[in-house]
Amino acid sequence: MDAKFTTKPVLPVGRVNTIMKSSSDVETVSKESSVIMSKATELFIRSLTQEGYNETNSGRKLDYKHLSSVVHSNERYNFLRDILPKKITVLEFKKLMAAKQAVERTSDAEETSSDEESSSEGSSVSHSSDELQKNI
Amino acid sequence: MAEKLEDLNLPGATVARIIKESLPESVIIGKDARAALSRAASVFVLFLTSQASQEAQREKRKTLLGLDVIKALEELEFDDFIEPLQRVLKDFKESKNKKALPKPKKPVENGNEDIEEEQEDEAMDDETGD
Repeated sequence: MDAKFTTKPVLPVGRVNTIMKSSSDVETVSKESSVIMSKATELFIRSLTQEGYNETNSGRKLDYKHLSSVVHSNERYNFLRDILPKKITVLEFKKLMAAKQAVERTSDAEETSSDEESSSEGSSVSHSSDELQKNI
Repeated sequence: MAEKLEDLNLPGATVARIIKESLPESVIIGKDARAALSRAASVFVLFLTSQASQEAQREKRKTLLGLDVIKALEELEFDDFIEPLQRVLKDFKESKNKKALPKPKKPVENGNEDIEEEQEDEAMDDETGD
């Protein structure tokens, strides 16, 4: 996998053990599992770093945005999407919020109209269009 | 339990070294990229621990074993980690057996100098373990 990967732990096993035990899911953590976890974490750092570097197109600097981009495109890093959110500019954020509000408005209108239609047919059609106008 | 909050982070210098080793020479690492990788690694430990403990529970075991961690990685689509970690597990078990079998000399009860020397050795072993 990697020339620099040996079977000896690089990340301190004791510290890894402490992090593992801080999880409420686990009762007893064996030394053996801490050693494997330490090496697994090392492999994890290596692979995320290398995949991030691929995003730079042989660039000279590895930045946050490269890592974030990997996390949001590769399924196996799904668990990190909240930890490494995509950074966006204020302008992009405003556009995003505007688009989101537009979607919410239309879905609200749809919800009320479909509710009305299912509860009392016929007469409700004109009523629901009133609602729609009020919402807007 | 962790006494200080820092105890739940991985040592920055070690993480930085692993990142540097994984990149071509002369590539610079952004400060926030390094911090993000360090954070991601801590979360990875918890995430993998949780999945591994499910594997142990399935076997009705209370103690987490190395095999549980390896199985969990398979479940979480980190298949490429499995082969190197199986080598780690094998090495770990072998070195444990070597330590367990030939214990060259046991501390002699009335020989006081020998005991002191052994204790010093053990203390040094502990230090290099970190």
